[in-house]
Amino acid sequence: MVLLVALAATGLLWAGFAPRGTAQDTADANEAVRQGRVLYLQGCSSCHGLQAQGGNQAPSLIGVGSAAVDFQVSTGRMPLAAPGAQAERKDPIYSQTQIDQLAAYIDSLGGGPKKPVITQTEWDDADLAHGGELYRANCAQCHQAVGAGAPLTYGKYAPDLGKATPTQIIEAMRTGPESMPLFGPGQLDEADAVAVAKYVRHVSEAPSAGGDDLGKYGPVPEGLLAWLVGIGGLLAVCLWIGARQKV
Amino acid sequence: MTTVPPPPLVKRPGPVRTLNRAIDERFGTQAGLRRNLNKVFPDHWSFMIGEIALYSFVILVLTGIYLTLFFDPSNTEVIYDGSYVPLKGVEMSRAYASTLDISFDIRAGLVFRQIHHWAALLFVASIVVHLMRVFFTGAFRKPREVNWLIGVGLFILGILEGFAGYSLPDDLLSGTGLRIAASIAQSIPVVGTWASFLVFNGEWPGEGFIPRLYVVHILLVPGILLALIGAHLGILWHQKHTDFPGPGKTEHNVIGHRVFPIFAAKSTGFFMIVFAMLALLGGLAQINPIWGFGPYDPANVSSASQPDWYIGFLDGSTRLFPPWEFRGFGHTVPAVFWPTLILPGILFTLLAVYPFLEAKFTGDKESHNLLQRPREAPTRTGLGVFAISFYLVLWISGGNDVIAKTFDISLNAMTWAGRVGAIVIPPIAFVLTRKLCIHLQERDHEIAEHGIETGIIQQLPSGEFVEEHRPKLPSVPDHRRVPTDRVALPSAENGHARGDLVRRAGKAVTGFFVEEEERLPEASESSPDRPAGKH
Amino acid sequence: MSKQDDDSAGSGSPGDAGGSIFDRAKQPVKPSGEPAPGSDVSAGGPELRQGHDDGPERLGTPPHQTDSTRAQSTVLLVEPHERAVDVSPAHAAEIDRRAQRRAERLVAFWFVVSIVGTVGFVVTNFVGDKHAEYYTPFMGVALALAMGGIGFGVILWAKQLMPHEEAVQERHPFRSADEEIAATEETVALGYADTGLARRPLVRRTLLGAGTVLGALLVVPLLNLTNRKPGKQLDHTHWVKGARLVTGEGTPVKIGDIAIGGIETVFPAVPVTEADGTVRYEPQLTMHEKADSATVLIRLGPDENRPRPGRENWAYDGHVAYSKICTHAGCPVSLYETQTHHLLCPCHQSVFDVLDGCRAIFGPASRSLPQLALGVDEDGYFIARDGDYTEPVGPAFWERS
Repeated sequence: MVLLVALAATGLLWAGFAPRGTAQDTADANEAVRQGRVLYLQGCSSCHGLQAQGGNQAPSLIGVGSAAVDFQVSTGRMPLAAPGAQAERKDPIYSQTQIDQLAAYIDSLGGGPKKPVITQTEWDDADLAHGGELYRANCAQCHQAVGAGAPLTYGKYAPDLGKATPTQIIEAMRTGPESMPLFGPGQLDEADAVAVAKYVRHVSEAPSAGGDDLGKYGPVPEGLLAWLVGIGGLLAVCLWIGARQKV
Repeated sequence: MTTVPPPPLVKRPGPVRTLNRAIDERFGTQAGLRRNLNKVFPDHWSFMIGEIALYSFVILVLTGIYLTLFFDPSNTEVIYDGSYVPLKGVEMSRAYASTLDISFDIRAGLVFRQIHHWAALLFVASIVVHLMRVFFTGAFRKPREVNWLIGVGLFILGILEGFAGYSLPDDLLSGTGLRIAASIAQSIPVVGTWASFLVFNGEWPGEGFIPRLYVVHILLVPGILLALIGAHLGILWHQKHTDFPGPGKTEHNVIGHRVFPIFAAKSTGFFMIVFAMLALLGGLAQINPIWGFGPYDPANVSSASQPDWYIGFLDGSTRLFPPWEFRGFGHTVPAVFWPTLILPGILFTLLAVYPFLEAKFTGDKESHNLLQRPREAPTRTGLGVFAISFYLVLWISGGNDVIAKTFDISLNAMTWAGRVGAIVIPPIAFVLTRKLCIHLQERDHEIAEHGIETGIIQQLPSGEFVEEHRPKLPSVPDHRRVPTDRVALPSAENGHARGDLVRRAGKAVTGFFVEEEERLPEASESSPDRPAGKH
Repeated sequence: MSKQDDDSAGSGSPGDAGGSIFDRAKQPVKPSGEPAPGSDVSAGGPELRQGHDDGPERLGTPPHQTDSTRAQSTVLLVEPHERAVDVSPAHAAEIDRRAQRRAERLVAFWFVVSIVGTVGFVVTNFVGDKHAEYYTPFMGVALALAMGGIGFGVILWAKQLMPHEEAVQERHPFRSADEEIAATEETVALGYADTGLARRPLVRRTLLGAGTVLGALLVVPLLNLTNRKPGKQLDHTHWVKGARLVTGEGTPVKIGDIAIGGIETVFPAVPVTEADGTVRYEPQLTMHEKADSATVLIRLGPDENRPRPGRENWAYDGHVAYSKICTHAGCPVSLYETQTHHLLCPCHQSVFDVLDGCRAIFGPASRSLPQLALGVDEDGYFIARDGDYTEPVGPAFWERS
């Protein structure tokens, strides 16, 4: 629960950086776009093109929106470390301020989903059980029942959601990164999206009721443990009992 | 021949003796009781593997009874209002809701539920290990083929029972498993649709299936299991346990500990340790967290949906099997039919008839009480490893999605590796194992002929270097040899060997026919090793 | 199990009692292997090599015989009435007593552990907070101590404090004597003759007939398991012409709700005409309806779809609808990869190509997912334009062609 609050607070903090509508904010926003463009040209343009128009190896970023930028960069997927079946989550190399500047720059090139802002009230009001139902209907088939992740075809996979922040979860729903389908507001409205994020955070953070969760993978690690520890341990006991020591 | 005089009867018996005498007056138990207390069990660690299965079963019954007190096997939909917040207000069956209650609201419910599930995994696992021990040592040979058949039956029933239990809570994982089971039933040629409708009471998901499954899980299959376990142990008791060859051990004796006290003490202790192991697993390792899967909904599914390990090989075979569906004459034989029904049908049939096949091909019709080491039967050992490696490939394929995710392998590559592996690996394993066995046998022979290498090199006067070999020492018995009946009684001398109870029961039955059947008493009397009419 | 007892404990000679471990270490086999004068040789263990003494050439003794812990075992296996034969040397007895006291304390320690575990279990059960994270692990560990304490205690007791022995018991062949067999067979034969079954074919045949017909009694309860005849049930789902596509929560899906690259699981909401002529849509969301009618609605990019011949107008504005029930084993197929447009089934990893009419391209499934013809009604909601699927959904079965 402490973690939940902390995460929600982080979300709020980020919300503070997001562009607002006043005159001062507009000036700040223009500055952010300028800074973002500098960062873009340094770090991204070699693949995505000088005008973010895309290239042979990378898609166009015009119109992807700030949500996509924030998701890709804050999860460390971009810049891409090495080409592979799928970009991997790693520690982000940009600070949150820089990410916001990059996002502002890409946003200025054309629409696309905006980085979501989750207020504390929204978070508190979100219905955990409803989020769970939506999660099972829309997400569990790929990300597994409790967000442990699972493979897709040819080396692709639905990632483990253990580290995803609520903002990143909603960004992923709204932008459909890589193989993931896109869940627009027509399918899941704001409250639904926050509820799903809350459910994911809950199953990732809630202590497991029955001892170690064995990686949350269900019967496969369970079977392995039954054989290695259960049968292995009892065979060791058999050896001990049958050992002709003593006497 | 020195004989210990029988001890005098205690004049003023304590409560235990009084009870014993009271029972004896009514049932005549003393000779049989003494014989059974003195029964000898050989002492080898591998003979205790079957006990793990037995004790797991006992623990399954005990914990299962506790669960039945709280589980509500009903498909009726309710709105959950228990203490697990993320499901509050969700519609679910009473079966699922009551399993949540067991997990969160009943004292000691979760720990016993988890012990029950771990015990189920260990029950089948120990049956498999026990089966391998029996197979590789040739313990299934005459006269023990019937117990082998019962054992195979227990194995199959154990798998069914486990699957039924896995399916009862009506969570998303178990519902998915049942959905597949319904498809499998539906795939049977000619009668499949009917079979599926009869089992599930209509088109999937059927009507009131959970109560039906519940009866199967807590009454029908456990009842049969109990009867078969009784028969398995009764036959074992009657035929006496096999043993490995050793000093003084022959086909005609058993050497080991008597039931009372050492064997009984060790077995009791081992039961407690099996229980302790399951309690540790049940307390420290979460199993089947159904609250995470959510209630069953036929339109939902979780990725990495797996069966428990003992069904894993069937899941694997289903994943690996090519999409071969046979269509023609207005009918279809679905692809799922072959890997889920035909394949296990063949596997379990071969397993069941193996003792008879081996006797046929080796021409060995003798009774055997001494076991073989795996190397002494290279072909059998090779076949066993063949089967195990085939099973392992299927088993690993049953978890190929989790393995692919964990080790970053392409799922498609895993599938193809499984397809190729299932065909290629077993024959290689067979040839290598057989060669290894023969090699080991040759080495044994070498040692028997020339002794063990000592590492001491001597130079002969001729200048030649030779290594000293020392003869292999004959093994030595560890303990004092004692006969089983410490106090010899005259009646024992006269061979109650065949069992007083059995013979008296036999007499009681034949007694009804004595008037008509004059020949029988004569026949028994003429039997040299079983003098009759002592009672 | 009868004859071997004589030699047993009764072998009165002190030197033969074999109790002292030190004797045995020097002469490993002698105590038991060498028969006492006048005793029955076969009793102690028929195949024993007699008087086998390795003498000075022996390269050490097997480890178990030099193991110092063996000293404990000098307690003799004797009945109370023959205590007299205890011949352990005095110093051995001293070592023995100390070792035994140690073993006793160890066993007692484990029994105390068990008591602690049981108390811990009971206390946690009643006093512990059953919603706390520690509750179940603590209960498990306490129970393990309660059981394991007794378990280890008893086994240590048996191993270290009970006298060890090699009890010998004879096996007997199971085959009965020829006379016995003959007599039994004769009994049965005579009894059978008395029944007269062989002589009375009428009785025999009618009995056979009755028994065979009786088999029907086994079939009847089986068939009574259901009143629902399969009939053509598997060929149909709950989709009807004009049914709206609604989500699992009953919300109808409008054009534009789903973005390109999106997927939604939909169910039928069947139109019901009220008395006043208005049309109401009844969502079909029970278990049975979901089980065969679950459908995935996917929005593809413009011109991405490659419709099958005859299905050119089954899609609507890039939206396609396919049965969600896998044609292999019936799991919901819903792992949709938007870049490759593959649908993956999580149960057995069949892969379907959405762009190519959901053809099965990998794994054990052999049939394409059935497609649902889409339309949009005047209010902009998606409807099943032509009604139900044109082929059975889900796993195949015998009656399907």
